[in-house]
Amino acid sequence: MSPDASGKSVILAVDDEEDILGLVKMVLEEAGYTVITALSGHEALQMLYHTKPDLILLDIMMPELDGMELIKILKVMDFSATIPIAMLTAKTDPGDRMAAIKENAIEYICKPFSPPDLVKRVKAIFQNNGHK
Amino acid sequence: MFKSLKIKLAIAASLLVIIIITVYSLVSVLTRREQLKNEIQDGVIAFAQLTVAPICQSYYIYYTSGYFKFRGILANFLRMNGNITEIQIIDVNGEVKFDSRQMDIEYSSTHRKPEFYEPGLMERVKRLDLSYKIINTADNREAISVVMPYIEEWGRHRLSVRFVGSFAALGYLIQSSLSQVLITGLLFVLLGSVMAYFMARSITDPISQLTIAARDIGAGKLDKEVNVKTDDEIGSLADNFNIMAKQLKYNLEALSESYDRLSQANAELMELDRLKSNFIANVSHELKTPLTTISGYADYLAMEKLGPLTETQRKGIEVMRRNIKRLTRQIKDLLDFITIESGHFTVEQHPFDIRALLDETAANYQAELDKKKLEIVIEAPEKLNVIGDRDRILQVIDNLVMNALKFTPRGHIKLKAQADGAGMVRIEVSDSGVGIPQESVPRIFERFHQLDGSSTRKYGGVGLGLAIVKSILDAHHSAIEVSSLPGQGSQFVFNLPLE
Repeated sequence: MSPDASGKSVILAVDDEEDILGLVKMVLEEAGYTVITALSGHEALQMLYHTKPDLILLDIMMPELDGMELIKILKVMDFSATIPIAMLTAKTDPGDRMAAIKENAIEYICKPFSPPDLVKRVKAIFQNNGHK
Repeated sequence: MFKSLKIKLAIAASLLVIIIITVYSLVSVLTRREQLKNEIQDGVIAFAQLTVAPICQSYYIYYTSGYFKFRGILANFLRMNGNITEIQIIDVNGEVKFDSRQMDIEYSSTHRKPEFYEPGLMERVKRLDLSYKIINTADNREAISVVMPYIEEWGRHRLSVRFVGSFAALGYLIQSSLSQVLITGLLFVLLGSVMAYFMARSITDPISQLTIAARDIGAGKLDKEVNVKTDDEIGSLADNFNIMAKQLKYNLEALSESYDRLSQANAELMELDRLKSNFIANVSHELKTPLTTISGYADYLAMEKLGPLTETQRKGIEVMRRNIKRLTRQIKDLLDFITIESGHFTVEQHPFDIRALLDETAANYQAELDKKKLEIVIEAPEKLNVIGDRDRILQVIDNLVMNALKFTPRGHIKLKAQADGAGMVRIEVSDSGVGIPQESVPRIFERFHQLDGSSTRKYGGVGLGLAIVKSILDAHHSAIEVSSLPGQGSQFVFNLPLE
């Protein structure tokens, strides 16, 4: 369905912290994207079953289904295998970064992030993938 | 099949027996031959002495009147000693009266010379005592010729008898004695081999037992005992072997006991470790998540995206943002430090461009540098690949620059990278700051250390940055050197391998 009716790229942000989702949504919509959110890995899976965003921003530390498990699932499912996934996480250890890159994450953004930095990185992803 | 000690020993023993018997039989046959020859010779001489009178008397009585009778008697005599091949009756004039080779011919009318030539025979015929001589027969065989005179009752000597004894029997005798020797020899070989086999078995069986036991012990069956009850070296070997097995068993038991204890302790430690690592991750998450929203909204407020601000509001928000930044930095240092201290810290070494890394760090601090009106100078080739963990080295440079920034009120910060021509790259972070007193230099890499208590309040930070730097460089097997002149600046230098 990308981009959406208004021509904007759609980003799915997945995080168990509502405040973080609120900040991400505010910052990225201000920058001209459409942002949809999911509060857990399971909710994200349900949404992805009938929605195809242009980018997924994925937190790692979530209860039940964490971000590393979710990325493994998403990369083998036919409905989500081609969607680029960027990690947005408080885990800053290089080991975690390596693990995410091994699972084909295209970007690894550490919390705390500054709003302009987040916008800059998301823009770079879309530029590299040929979107606006 | 020749690999068994048993068979090797048996073969060696048999060979020895065969060699002994061969030598023995050769020696014995050679000595026996002489002995047998003498026996035959003595037999022939004795025969001649015993039979000369009856032969000659028979000759006188029966030769002319009843030749067949005479011939019968002579044939009997010949049969009595198988070695005698010829008997001739010769008179002292050299006339052959009778020759056993020509029994059917009567010499009564015609006198004949003997049909054999034997040098000196006539002299011996005339002699009054026995004489003998070794001759060669017509078919070129050795024989003994004995001449025995017949002395009549009143001392008259008219006839002598010549006996020829053959040594042909010698061959048979030697042959039979040889075959006897051979049979006994073979018997000995057979017996010797059997004996050697059993003797060898008495040596090799315990060895096989030891071999099997050693294999069993190797396979972990330590209760196995070798049952060899001899007093020799093998017996003592078996005893020592049993003792060794018992000690091994005891040691293994002790070992497995301490292994159990250790693995239990290890499991407990691993559990603790897991808990610790989970704790670090949780603390990290719990601290950073609220910080993210606070700093994000503060940034947004400052950008007036949530509405226009009054001057006082703006000032208040700036103070918030400054302190959020400080808190962010402290939390980052603290978490880095805890991670490094906890041992959950790996270094993955790959080639990367150090110049790009220096540029990136400088860019990150540009705003703060501008604010303090400091200059940052980068001296490095356009591209210079070193080997190391890029993220960790970024942490190192970041901490060093942070440190320099903190202690440099004016002037410049310099980042330098240069290949030293010996396969290493020298990386330098220097400043024109307050410097470090000489006596404090050895302690600056200790954790929680700042020059004095007041500096914490003056410069901020909890004194973990340089400890993190040292830990990361230790993991790269690289040392860091510091030189400083108080009031003029400090210089931090470390080396990384060139790609």
